This record gives sequence, structure tokens and C-alpha cells, in this order.
Amino acid sequence: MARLAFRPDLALALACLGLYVATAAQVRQGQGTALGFAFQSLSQPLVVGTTQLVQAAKDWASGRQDWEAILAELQDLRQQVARLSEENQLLASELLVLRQGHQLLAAFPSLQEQAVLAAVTARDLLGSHTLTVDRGRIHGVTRDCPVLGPEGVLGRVDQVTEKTARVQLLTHPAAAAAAQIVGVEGEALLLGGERPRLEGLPPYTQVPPGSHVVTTGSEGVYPPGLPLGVTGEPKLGAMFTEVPVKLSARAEAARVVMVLRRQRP
Amino acid sequence: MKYLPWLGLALLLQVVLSSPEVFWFLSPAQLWLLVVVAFARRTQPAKAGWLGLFGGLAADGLRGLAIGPSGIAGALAGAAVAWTSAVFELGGPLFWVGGTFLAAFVVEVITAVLYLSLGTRPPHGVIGAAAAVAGTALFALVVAAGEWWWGRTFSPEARRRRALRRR
Repeated sequence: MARLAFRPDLALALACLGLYVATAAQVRQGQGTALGFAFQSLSQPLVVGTTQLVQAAKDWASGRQDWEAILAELQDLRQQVARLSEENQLLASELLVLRQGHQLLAAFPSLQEQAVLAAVTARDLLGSHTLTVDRGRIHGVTRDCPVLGPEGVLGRVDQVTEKTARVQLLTHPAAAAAAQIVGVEGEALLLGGERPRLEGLPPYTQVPPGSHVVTTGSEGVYPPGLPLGVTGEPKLGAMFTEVPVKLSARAEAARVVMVLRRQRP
Repeated sequence: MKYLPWLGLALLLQVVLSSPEVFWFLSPAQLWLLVVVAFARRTQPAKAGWLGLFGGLAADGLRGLAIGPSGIAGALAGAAVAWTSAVFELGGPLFWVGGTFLAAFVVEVITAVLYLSLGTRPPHGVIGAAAAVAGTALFALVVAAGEWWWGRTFSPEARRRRALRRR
């Protein structure tokens, strides 16, 4: 049996020649061949699919960028909201302080000249019965300066630094003030503590409950006539009449206090 | 035969390059020629010619042209690159850039000659042919750089160098 063996280079040349003839036929015909149409129908979905794939990849990358931008914007907005919320709280706090300061000045118009308004920066109402305020020696605050709230006397300054002062409240066990019950003869001593009371009134003194108690100034600390509180049901003792007092000033609500500078002799 | 998948991948990439989403100046590049050039490095001209023929035919089909001219041109280009690399013992980046440049140039010239000999206009003019040669050579540069990096990183010599440096 005869065996035909082509040299590869010869076979390649023959293939090229055949292709040339086929190309010539395609060119002459001008309408495309079946092979061309087959190639077209095979390759066209590939081209379209690849284009769609590239478009999808581009869309995905673009979407991811948008997503990251949105996340960054959201983070930024959250930070802004947190900052604004904080500022809002501070503004509300400052507004409250301003209102209380205004109330204080309106409550004691005759004391405005010697008054120093101070914000409460710390308070310990149950332990040491003190407040700390943001005014000190450089603002003219000295030891034993009276401190008032909008409703009345809070206490006196017992410690002073350059820029702060500590106020000993009337609820302190060691606090005391010379006092007088409006409409009742005689002076008494208001003693502090958890249950403030008036002592030193003569026995059998008639004290109507709910009477106003004001300072007399004879102890040399508080100016006379400042409200201290109202009386409760008196107890008759052997030597004195003891009258419980409900203090007017509420230290727990004080945000701003009025410190009265002491007049130099 | 192991080059046929690479040829398919190159043709697929060729389609990707013609997508409107890709930079327009990359579309004239003929990536299938890179596979032919790679095959032509260690093979006989006739075998490289056959791969070039198949690659060219497929490229013609994908572009919607008359099927044949690029096949003939690819066969001649593959044979030419194989012969040149054997005679001049080309290797490394010079082989990639020089071989691809030669292949692209041969393909463009032969294609133009074939079309002109048949009394019709080639699918593109001189500028298109120059763009095809330049684009294909650009990809050859990328391949050469990749091969250089691969050899520098993963070759046995590089491993030995790293081992010596550790001591």
C-alpha cells in the first residue's frame, strides 16, 4: 500500500496556497462564506459576552467605590451628629447656667454690686456637704464669703484657691448662722446637719409652722435679711425651744451660685 | 499541543481588548502572535508555522474578516521567528521583543500584500499596521519583563542566592 508522507514545510505551504485560493473566493463573492458566517455566529456571543463581562466588572468596581464613599460619608455624618449632640448638650447646659444666673441677679438686686456669679463644677452633697465653684481668689472670693442660690442662702466659702472655691453648705454638721424668724421676737442660731434646726429661742416661744427664717448678720458672715428657710413644728425643750427648719436653697439643683464678696473695712 | 489553550486564552483576551471598556490603543494588539512567538522559540519553523496558521485563521474569524490572510501571514511569521531565533540564538527579553516585532511586522506586510494581490483593500492602512506592530510589541515588553521578574524571583539561581545571603 502506497503511503503518502508530506514534509511539514511542504504541507504548510500547500495549506497556505489553499487558504489563498479560499480567500480569493471569499473576496470575489463579497457576501461572506458559510465558514465566515459560522465563525461570526460563534464569535459574536463571545464578543458580546466579554463586553458585558468587562462592563459588569467595571460596574462592580464603580459600585464598590460608591459603597466605600457612602460608608465614609456615613461615618463622617455619624461623627458630625455626635459632635453636634455634644455641642447641643453644652449649649443647653450653658443656657441653664445663664438662666440661673439671671434668676439669681433678679432675686437679689440689692446685692449685685458685691456679687460674683460662679458655676458649680463639683458637688458632694451627702459626704462632705460641699460645692466647688469656678471662682477663686483672683475673682475676689475669700474665706467666709456667703454663697446664695436663687431661693436663699446655700452656705459659705470655707476653702479658696486661685481659681476655685469650696462652699460649705448649711447642711454641713458644723454649719451655723445667726437667724431670726419673721414675726417672732428674739434671735436664734441655725445649726446645720441633716436636720437643720433653730436653737436658742426662749422656752415656750410660739413659732407658727411655715414661718420664714432669715439671717440677722450678727455672726459676721451673712448679710442680714437673706432667706434661710421655713420653720417646721417646734419642740419645746427645758431651756430652749428647738425649731426644725426646712432650708430654702436646694444645693442639688444649683448650677450657678452667687458669691458675695466681703466688704473690706 | 500544550500551546493551544494559551492560543485560546490569547484570542479571548483579544476579544476583551476590542471591548469599548478597554483603552482604545490596546485594541490593535495581536495577542495570539505572542503565543506563536513563544512556541517558535524551541521548535521547527514548520511547526511554528502551523500554530501561526491556526491562530491567524481564528483571529480572522473573530474579527469578521475573510478567513485566510491572517492564517497565511501567521504561518509565515511563525516560521520566520523560529528560523531567526535558531539562527541568531535569540533569548531573553531580546527574543520576546525582537521576535514579536518581527512576527507582527511580517503579519501586517503579508496580509497587506495578500489583500492587494487579490485586488481589494487591506482591512487597515499603514497607521493601523503600525499600531498593530507597536501594540503587540508593547505586550511583548510586558511578557519579557514578567519573565525577567519570574526568573529573578523563582529560578534555582535566585533561590541559591537567597540561601547564600541567609548564611
